[in-house]
Amino acid sequence: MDPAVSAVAGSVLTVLVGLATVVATWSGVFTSYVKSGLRWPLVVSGLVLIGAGVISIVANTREPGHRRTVEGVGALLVVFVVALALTPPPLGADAAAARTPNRLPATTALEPIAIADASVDSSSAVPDSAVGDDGEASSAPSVDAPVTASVPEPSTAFPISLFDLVSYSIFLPEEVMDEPLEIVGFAAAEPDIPGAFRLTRYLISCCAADSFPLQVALVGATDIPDQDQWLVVEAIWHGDVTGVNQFGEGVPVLEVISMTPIDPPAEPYEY
Amino acid sequence: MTQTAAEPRPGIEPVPPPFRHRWIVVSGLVAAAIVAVWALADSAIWATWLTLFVSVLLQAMPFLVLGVAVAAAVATFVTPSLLERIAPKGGVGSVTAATCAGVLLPGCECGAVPISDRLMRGGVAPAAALAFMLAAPAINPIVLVSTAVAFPGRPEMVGARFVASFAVALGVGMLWMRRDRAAVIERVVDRHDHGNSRLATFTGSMVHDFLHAGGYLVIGAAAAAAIQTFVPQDLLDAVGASPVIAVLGMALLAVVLSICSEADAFVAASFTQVSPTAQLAFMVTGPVVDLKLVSMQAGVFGTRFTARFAPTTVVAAVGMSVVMGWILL
Repeated sequence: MDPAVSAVAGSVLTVLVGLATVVATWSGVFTSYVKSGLRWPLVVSGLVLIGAGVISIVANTREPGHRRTVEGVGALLVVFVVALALTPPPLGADAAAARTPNRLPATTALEPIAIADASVDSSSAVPDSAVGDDGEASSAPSVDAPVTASVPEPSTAFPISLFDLVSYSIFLPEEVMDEPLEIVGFAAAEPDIPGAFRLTRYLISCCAADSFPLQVALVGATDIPDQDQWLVVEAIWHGDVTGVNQFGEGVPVLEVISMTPIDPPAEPYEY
Repeated sequence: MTQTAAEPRPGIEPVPPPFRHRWIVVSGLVAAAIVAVWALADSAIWATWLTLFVSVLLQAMPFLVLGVAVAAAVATFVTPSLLERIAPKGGVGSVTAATCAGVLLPGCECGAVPISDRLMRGGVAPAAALAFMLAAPAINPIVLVSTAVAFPGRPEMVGARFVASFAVALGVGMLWMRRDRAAVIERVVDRHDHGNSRLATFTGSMVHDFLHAGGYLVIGAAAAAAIQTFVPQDLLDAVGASPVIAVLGMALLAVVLSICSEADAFVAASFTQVSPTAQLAFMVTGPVVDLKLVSMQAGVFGTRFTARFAPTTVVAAVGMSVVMGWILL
């Protein structure tokens, strides 16, 4: 390409990358990909790119003798602009299914909730029988899944992140057992227990590329919500686990008390 | 004018004429990539790939922009004559000083090759200039900060990266000084622009470096996202399960992906299946040897030099990563 055209095209592309970055950040879409703390660094770097590109365009027009040729590989940044314009969704149930190892299919499929936590001393067996032992649980059978969006009575459930819940279930199970918990996540398939689903949320340490699905299995819902439907769930854990998660531990199995569909949160990932 | 040809010397490799219609090929590839991305965005697995691709690029963007801005400032305000006055002339001290200068001066590896070239032309000992070229992209402040961000709560990763990369730059520099292999360097091409206004030089350099490094980052992000999306988890786990294969595989991946050093920590962190030592090997090898650097070095210093320099550097980088991983990680 003519160096003059190439240099101006490169500057225009730089402006486009800056614009795409600023727009994606300002609109809030960026939390589908990175931590929200990156907001200002992203806005500033986008603005710097826009500024440098514009000045470079002007300089190229005014001082035609001093162009720098631009290598063709830079044109690939167009793909980034297009990809960002398509706003791919945050990681969901499909990605979780692809990444969940399924190492113990034989045992877990035969006996859905067989693998109990070693520290559970009592009643680790049938989860359905456990529904009755909590005061609130009497309302559990009438929950009728997503439709109970009507105003819930003041909840005593303890809000806990899925990361905390999964961590506690491994290291301090008694701390989170047998009390109503409030958890937030999206629905994904449960491979082993019929009539159950997995409440899922991704943990990211830096960006979505290092994401890690956090999951609990939920039993006792009359309707299985659609994949990727976000929910606030009140549930109770009696110490049962199923399958194997990425930590090599069992996935906690919780009894649903109530669940409410919600819009996807502004920050889809846990940090 | 703007270009100053190098002094003709015997044994100089002829510069190949530029492929005039390369832009047609590039436009075609870009168009094909756009169509593919557009058409496949609806399929679930491609949507996952797209999400990971955008994630790596967005996460790297602030660091990339900061890096090219600082490199542009160096290109604008640190003139060759200034370098000539302050740069050491030879000996062990010069290699050490050049390595330390590389630590302090941020610049991505694409910028380090021409800067090192400029140092040699300014009379700096080639071994020292090479040490600078290896140190500057690998362990400057921006790279260390981005590594700390990519590995939250794991400062030992930053420390291991710093020590291993410092040792590689110093060691390879010393090696070249002792064996006087710098004599193999065949030709030097001055690509510095003269006569621009400072603002035009700054923004021109920034846009140039951004497009160059950003283009390679797109390739690296696409490949990293593809490996995370399409390679079966079992295979990645199997690679990660064998320490030796993991380290060699990650080092090879760093060479192939050619990711800018300001961004590579985020890609390394995305490989949660492999050991920290393998992640370290990725981060220590990538900034000193990768496909784009090898092609740049071959263009600037000649193929015979590069044929010796690149393998030596790979061995040093993998070796130091294993040592530091063993001690620190």
